[in-house]
Amino acid sequence: MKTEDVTTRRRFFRAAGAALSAPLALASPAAGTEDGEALKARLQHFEDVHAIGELNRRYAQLVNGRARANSGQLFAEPSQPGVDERIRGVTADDFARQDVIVLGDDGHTATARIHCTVRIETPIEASSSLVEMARQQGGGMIRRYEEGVFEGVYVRRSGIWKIKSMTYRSA
Amino acid sequence: MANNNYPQEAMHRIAYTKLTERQILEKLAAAADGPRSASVLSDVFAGESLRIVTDDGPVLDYRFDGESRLSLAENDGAAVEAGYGALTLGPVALLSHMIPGTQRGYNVIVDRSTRLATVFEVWFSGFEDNREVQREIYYGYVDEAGSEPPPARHTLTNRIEGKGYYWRQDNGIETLEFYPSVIYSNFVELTRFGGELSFCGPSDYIRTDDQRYVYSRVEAEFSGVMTLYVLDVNRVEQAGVRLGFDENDALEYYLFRGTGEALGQLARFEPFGDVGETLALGDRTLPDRKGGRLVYRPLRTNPILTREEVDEAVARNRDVFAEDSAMAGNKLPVSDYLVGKTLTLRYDNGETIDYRFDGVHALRWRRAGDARWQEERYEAWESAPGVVMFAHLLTGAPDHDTHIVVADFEHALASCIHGTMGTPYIGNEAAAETLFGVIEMDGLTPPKYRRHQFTDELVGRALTWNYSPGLTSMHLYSTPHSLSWIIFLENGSGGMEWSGPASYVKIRDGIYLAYWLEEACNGTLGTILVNTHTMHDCGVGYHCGPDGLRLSAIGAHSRNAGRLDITKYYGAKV
Repeated sequence: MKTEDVTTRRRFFRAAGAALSAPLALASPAAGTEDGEALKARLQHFEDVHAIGELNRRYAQLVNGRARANSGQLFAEPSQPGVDERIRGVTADDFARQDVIVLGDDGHTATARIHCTVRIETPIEASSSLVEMARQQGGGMIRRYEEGVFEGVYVRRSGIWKIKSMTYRSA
Repeated sequence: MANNNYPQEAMHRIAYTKLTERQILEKLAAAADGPRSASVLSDVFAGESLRIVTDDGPVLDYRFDGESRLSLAENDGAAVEAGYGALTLGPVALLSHMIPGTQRGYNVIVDRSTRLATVFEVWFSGFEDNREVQREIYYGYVDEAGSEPPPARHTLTNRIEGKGYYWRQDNGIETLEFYPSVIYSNFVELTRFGGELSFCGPSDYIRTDDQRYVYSRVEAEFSGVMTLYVLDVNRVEQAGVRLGFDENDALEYYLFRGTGEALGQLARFEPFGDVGETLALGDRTLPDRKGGRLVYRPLRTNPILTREEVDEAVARNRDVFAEDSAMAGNKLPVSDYLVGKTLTLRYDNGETIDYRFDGVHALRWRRAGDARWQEERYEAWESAPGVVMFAHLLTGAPDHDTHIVVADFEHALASCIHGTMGTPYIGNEAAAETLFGVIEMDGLTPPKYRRHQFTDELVGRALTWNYSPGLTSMHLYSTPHSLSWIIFLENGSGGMEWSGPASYVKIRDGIYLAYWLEEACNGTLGTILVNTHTMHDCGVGYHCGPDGLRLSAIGAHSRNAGRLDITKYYGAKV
């Protein structure tokens, strides 16, 4: 995408946002009315879903970038283990259209099911010089790919969504 | 009487002196006047000034006073004077100098036609072993007033991967050098060490243009000497420098010219379009220190046991074909060819072994004349009709011996790799001898004169071996007495490699019994029966570590990876 196109698109979104907010501003009933509360709730819903989606994407980014050690910051309890260490790569399936994010009624909890393809690497267990050399240069792994589902549980603390737990099961 | 320079100790057995920094500094005093050279040094820089700007590295301001003295200011600092030498190869000039009073120096490659430069900063005492030359590579250009910096740079490359060369330097030193990797290389010292074995060292390959490349290697885990040269692949010429301390701790610092012969091209396995400008290291990164590089240091990572510790470990555990390792992911089916057979293997060294094969994994053996049979676990594979490889331990033998046998029932011939544990150097290092003999069995009449024989038919060949998903190596049968193994990087480039003594026996046309010893490494005796018709092997690994003695299967699928024409360099000269 050319820089000019990006700039054009940004202007569009800003304008659309302004356009969106204008009728809202014009049409929004006074605070406290029923329509106003419903709109606020819908907006909050979308923002929460977006935030959780971003949280999942960030987690996948860290796994793919071999920076899993930095993923503690995404968790409610930083020492909470993530998914199996053998999962070294994550790709969303079907452009994430099958993913489901469900917000709890309390507004502070959520769950998600994310369909993906994972790359699993299992260290080759052997005491040969071949395996030793392979490990030293980043190999020594058996790699395979499979489809599966990440199941996340989330909690909002101080306005920030965090992962409470993340598990994986193969499809 | 002329001697072919066979050393008292092979390179991997030499206990190279742990030189101190002070000793190195004292020895480097001789380098203050620049490198020696058997060839006339070039005057290409005489009277010139040269400013080299590198990316993320030093700026080097040189002033050359004639063809042997220079002054250098690093990063606009105070200038120092030093002796230097330079050689040219076409438009490429190599200049080399140390910085007097220090353990540092520079080898600079300048392409005068493109103004591109590659700088090798070199130094000693940068590793536990002070004598090992360290290097950092910087890419840059020659800065010229009024001219824009050239946008291009010399780069890492895989474009000469797979090549091999014979080189004869202007001082008479002859070598064979093979490049089956992008981070390592093989070298055979025909002159210095008699040409019996090949050795491996971490190496760099840099492309200046399609015709000229920069190669360097450091004999890490040996003398620590660096050899660096520019090579012209069209003219097969080289201009280089050698820096370090030999086995007598004498300083080697000289420039050389060389002429050579191209020996062929091995196959390469990178995706098309990958020209090797980056190293595919997967999860690894280069060590985060100046000069960091991947170096295989097996003696530092493999546990070394004494003879007593070996005996204790073996008493605790003997693992005989208990379960298949990753080295046997593609092994042949276990054969029942021998089940029910009674035979004698009579070897020409006088050893005679009677056998009764009671099952697929159970045999009994005894030395001829003994009354008592010894039960052993074994495994057998039939590589070709009537060609069976099997192996077992010899319980009670003093050196935890093993017999790894190839029996050819169509010709009643047997060859045995007799492995023992322990050498004068390391308690858990295997040794091997090859026994030739015959099969005596009802229905077989063995030959009286014909035997399997040692062969050079594999020498120079490269074969890939896929043992398991994720575990593939390439063998380069590098000399009649050594074998190299290369591990691939993620993108199929050759990666780390190592080498060990070996021998090759011809069983039938296209079928060979090879063994290699991982000496000064993890001590393993590896044996494989290579069948170039099926491109499949079967084999046995024999290894002892703290967890005991292991006799295990090997099995892999092979691909032809080419051949280097090198056999002619190994014959005894008239």
